[in-house]
Amino acid sequence: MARSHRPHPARRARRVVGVASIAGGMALVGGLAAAQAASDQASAAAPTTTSTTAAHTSSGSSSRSSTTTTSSSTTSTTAVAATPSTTADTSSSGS
Amino acid sequence: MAAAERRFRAMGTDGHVVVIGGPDRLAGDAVARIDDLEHRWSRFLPTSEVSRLNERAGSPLIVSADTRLLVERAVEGWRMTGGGFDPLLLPAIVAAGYRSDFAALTSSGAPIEPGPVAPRPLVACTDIELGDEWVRLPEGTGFDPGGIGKGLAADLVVGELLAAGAEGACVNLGGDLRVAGPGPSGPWTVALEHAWCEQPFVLLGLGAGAVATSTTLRRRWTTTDGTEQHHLIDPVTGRPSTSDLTHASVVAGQAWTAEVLAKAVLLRGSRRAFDIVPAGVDALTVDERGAVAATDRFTDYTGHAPLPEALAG
Repeated sequence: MARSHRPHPARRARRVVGVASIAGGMALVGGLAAAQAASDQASAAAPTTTSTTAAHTSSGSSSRSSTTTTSSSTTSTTAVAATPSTTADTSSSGS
Repeated sequence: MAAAERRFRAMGTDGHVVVIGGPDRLAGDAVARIDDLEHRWSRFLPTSEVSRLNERAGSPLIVSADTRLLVERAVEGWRMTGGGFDPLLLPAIVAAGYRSDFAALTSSGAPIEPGPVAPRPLVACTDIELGDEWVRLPEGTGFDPGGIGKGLAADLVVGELLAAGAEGACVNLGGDLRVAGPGPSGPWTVALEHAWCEQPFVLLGLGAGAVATSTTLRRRWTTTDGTEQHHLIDPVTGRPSTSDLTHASVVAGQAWTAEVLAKAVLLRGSRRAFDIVPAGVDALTVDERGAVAATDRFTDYTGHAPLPEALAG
């Protein structure tokens, strides 16, 4: 009986991962898109500003290294600054 | 504006949820959703998907979409930080003694027996394989969701709260927090706290976004050989970090991003702390002598109020 040539799922995935690496992360970014939608809903509903990967590499402040080019589109939703009140709504102290 | 608030324990830390507007059930739903994510992601629960992934490292395992997303984000965090954040350091953190829930581990106050020191496999996060519905960790490794799980949970739950009708929301898990929409009285105000200070040392204003803090001053323990340990492992040495920074807070669009960057900034040390911070993200550090430093635009979030130059130890 002829053997099936259908590759094992893990082998197929390795092939996909390899393509993603060659594409310099572009495929990974694409693959993130669907899942990204859920975590970006908050920002989409709020008056956030967005920037692209290209903007990340060209608009960094002078205190940052020009070699900081590893950020991807998953960091493209930036925080929106506001003036704090004198009473905190919540806190961040690390855990 | 009507706000519903919950304070609770989850993911081994303090949780805080604030919901503005929307149906009354939303705050309770948020706590339940966080509990659901903890049961999928905790490395201390033997039935969690992360525990099963670690048990089956080397073989593909079908996981939920949430867990696949967690692993995918962790790989992205590793790329973003040039390896400064590494989710495959579980064997190293166990070797340092952190092998069970921290509260249970330290409840007796007795020194902790270090775990077995495993040889470090020559693998990287690029060796993690992601299928449509499954994940395969490299053989001999272990995945530690640690802080990124808290950050990603905050991101997911805030998004779901807004989708369910909330006008504004804040989800805070151990200081990894995400806010969106209006707060109880306008923009959200987030207090930065430091272990040396009784009161917050900085107040941040956020219309939307996330804050995360990493510190070596909490989750510390002493091992039976007399060594003081903490939970932030340096990927270079595989040992608790000896960085001269004790605190790093990052403001970013998403909490999972802020969390991995806060950890990476702290591990880099004061000399190169901000090299890795991308544009659009800001960070503040405190070193072991209490000196405070920050990226140029950090004071955008303080209403341009000046930062303290140093904290008293």
